[in-house]
Amino acid sequence: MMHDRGLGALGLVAGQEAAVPALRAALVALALLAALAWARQRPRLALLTLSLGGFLGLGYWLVQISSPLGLGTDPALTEDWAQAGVNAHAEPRQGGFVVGTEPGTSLVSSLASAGVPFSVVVLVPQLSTLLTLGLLTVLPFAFLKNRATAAFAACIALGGGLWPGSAPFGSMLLRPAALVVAGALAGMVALAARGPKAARAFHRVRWSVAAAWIAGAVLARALGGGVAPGAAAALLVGATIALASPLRAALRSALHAPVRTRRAEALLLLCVFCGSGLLWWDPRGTVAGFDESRGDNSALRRPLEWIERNVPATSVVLASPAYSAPIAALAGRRVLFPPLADGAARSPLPEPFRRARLAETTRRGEPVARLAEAFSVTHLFLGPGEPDPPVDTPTPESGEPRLDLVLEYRDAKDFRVFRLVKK
Amino acid sequence: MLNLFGFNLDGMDVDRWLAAARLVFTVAALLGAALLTRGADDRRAGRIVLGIAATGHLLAWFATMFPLPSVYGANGSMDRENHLGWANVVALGFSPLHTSQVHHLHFEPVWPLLVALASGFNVDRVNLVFQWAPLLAGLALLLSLRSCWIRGMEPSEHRNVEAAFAALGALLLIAVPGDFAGPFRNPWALTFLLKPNHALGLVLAPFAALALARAGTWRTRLVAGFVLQLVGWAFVIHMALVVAGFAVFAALSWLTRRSERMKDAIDVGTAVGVNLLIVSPYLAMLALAYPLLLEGDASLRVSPFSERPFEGPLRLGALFLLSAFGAWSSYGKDGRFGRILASQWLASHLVWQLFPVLGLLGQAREQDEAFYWCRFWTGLFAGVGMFRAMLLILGRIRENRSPLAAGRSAVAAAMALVLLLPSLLPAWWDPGTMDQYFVAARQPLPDWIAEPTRFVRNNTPPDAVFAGDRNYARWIAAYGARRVLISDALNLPNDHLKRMEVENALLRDGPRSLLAEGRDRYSIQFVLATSFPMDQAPEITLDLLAARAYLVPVYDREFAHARVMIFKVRYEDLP
Repeated sequence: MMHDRGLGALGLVAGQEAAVPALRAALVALALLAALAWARQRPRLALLTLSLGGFLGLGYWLVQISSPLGLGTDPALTEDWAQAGVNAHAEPRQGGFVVGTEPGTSLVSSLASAGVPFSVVVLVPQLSTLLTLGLLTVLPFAFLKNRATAAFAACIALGGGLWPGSAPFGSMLLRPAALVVAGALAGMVALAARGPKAARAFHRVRWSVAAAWIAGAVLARALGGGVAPGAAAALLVGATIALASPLRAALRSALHAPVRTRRAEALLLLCVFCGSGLLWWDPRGTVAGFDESRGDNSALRRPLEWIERNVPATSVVLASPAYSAPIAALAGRRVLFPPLADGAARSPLPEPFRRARLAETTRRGEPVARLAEAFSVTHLFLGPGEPDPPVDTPTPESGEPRLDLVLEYRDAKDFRVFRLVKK
Repeated sequence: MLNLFGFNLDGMDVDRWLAAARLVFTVAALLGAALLTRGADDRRAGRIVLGIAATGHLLAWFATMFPLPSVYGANGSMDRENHLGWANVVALGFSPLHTSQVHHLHFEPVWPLLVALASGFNVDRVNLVFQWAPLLAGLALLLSLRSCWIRGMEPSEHRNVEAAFAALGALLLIAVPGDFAGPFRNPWALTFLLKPNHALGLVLAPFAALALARAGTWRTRLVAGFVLQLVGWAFVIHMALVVAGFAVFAALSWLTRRSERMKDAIDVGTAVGVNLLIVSPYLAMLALAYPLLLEGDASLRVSPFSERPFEGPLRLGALFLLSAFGAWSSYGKDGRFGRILASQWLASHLVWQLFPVLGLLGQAREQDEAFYWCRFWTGLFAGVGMFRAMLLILGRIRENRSPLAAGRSAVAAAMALVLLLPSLLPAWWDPGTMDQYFVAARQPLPDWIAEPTRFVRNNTPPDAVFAGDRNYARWIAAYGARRVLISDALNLPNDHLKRMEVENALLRDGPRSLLAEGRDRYSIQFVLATSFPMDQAPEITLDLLAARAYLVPVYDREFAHARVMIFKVRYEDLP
């Protein structure tokens, strides 16, 4: 489940500040080559070159992600990753990552449930972003009969569309499931557009369709706000594809000579690719949690790896809310408390008082055996600064059976794991 | 917590507020486009487009300003705090030729004077003037561009709409959504909201172009020079950039227009010469007050491998191409004024391409201003270019039936408006996530700054000058409305060595003669220090200062973040 070492090394190289201008210069060079190819009537070569540029531009940032994106920074994504980790490694498969709760559903947790290895599941945001690039490349060919126009639309869409700052890649990275939705919708529309009547109707109203998509995109952006355009990006890509044909027709009509038209188109491709978003995309400032996901947090990973190896899959780990999500996501074990202590969890926590009592008695070094058994809690996880529970505490007078805590793991960073054992 | 409009901000959902502003603009723009498609003559269509631009600017300004408990940029922007300090001291009645560093010659003297005038020389109204100035500057830009375009361009059936699109583009296409992540951030916010005095330069620049376009006699050339120097007083960098544009105009004319080249060269030479003559006292002030040619900091160096050269033009994507088309068509068919404006577009990009060279010499100063200038002209011509492209398409498409042809201008305007809409600033502006100054200004001023500066404002005489913590000095000027000896946030005055000597004597119990010089030459009355070590005197603690016989504590408060003390300087024992 740990990040691939090769990708990690690549990420380290890419993470150097000086590499960003180099990347951008390389993308501009590729855009120039593509424009040249287009001007010389090689539309496929132009598209291939820009696809390569897109792959390079996205890949540069994506290889830097070394831990699940959004884990610990975005509440919804944190729960998704925690659920996915538990679905992949814990037993039984059913149930939420917080013991006794209902499981949340997301693309990553569904994939983990379906048996996709977690090491692949953590790459889903990156893969979906790259697949978006693929979708943008092939989508115009599904809608536009003229291959050259389809290539033209694909080249523009690859850069992020006709409108600057509307590239969909950041949104896709944070919501990979949107690719499935966008793909399905695009497929349905493409199938509907196959019929000659629909195609003719579309041809008649293409300006109106484009205008409607643009208006929809602006309204979506107005309501959504933020730096990632989300649905607005998808609509603007749609508008870009719808406008590709009239745009070419307008250029042909205005410039008369085919050579001049091709040059103007090439210039447009160059400007759009260099301006619309992909080239200037910098997820460090635009994708929440990206910076955090670049650090591999090896100090925390060591005890989590130990838990993954040594704590039974059916066990539940008691930890403070700050460690709940990493334990569930990266060690694949259920936890007693949700990651958020502010009540912002998706569903209310069942039996909060019994959980609190188990946590409190465990903190005092005398966990109630009945409660530990009821919640299947077998281990206590403590982070730096959290005090050790007292050892060898006598059984209280109430006579309720208690458990002992045995230290099983401790490292230089003061992460500790105790096992709850019978006295 | 109240905002400057007097409304309570407690419990305000800022995200919804901002979304509502975007939504209102989007709906207004779509309604405007729908109205245009119903047919309108050139004049009416122009008014609709201009109305949408004005509504957009107003909504973006209001959406940003309303949730702020203080003036925009407070609590986060050194520039804004310096501007507040400058305006405060002029509003108190001190010379507009000086900054908030006592007797320090100013490099932007007009703006503080205008603010002081607008506030009625009431320092308590300065914040309000800063609040409203961005709105007024934006609206003035719309009117200035429209008016100059209509007066300067060759008569045509689309002149009003083109003028409106030029104004709309210059104001609302100056920034694109991704700008906030770039090195120069959002040009609209940093020009209109943060530095409305620079926006004043943009307002005046079209008038300078128009005056040159109309120059032909010695009298009109003198007028052109006079108008140009007004730009200089508003913002000297814009004056230099306008002059660069005039030079490109003359050069292009020399290369391409044999019949007019001599006249153009004489017109430009005279206007620029007259301008330099009139503005020379100001230039002398700059030369005297600032060490302009000294080696600067690392930010003045630009790597030859940086992405700066293509950042200016290409971050705008297709808008850049549209602007090139707009500028090209203006140069070809819009007469002298069109050629001058198109030359400004070209010059702005040429100047931007100079920066890597200047960066190699360590002199890449004011890159942000050159970048915004570049964006201003690109936005302006992108608006025009889009409209003209739509006209072209409507004119050439075979299906273009007669009802459309009748109101072609309005239909082209509607199409251009819809196509530009995703890029118009008010449609995507989300300062909560895109503007660090908005986020900072949403927070109340930290108590260790707010309380002592309130004390300074209310309990010290208006002519008091403060020495001591140079970092705190900008807050003394901005929020306490008092002058200071040296501020880390401002350029060093040319007599900085003398000031440092006096300051050193005050802090380290130096010679009495220097203390007396501080009193007589700089009117120092107070010393402010905090528990943070001062850069210039790290060993001097608050207790040490309190032990000085000539320093009498008048304010001493321990805050969670720092302790702040204010001392009155006793001059009784001095000669």
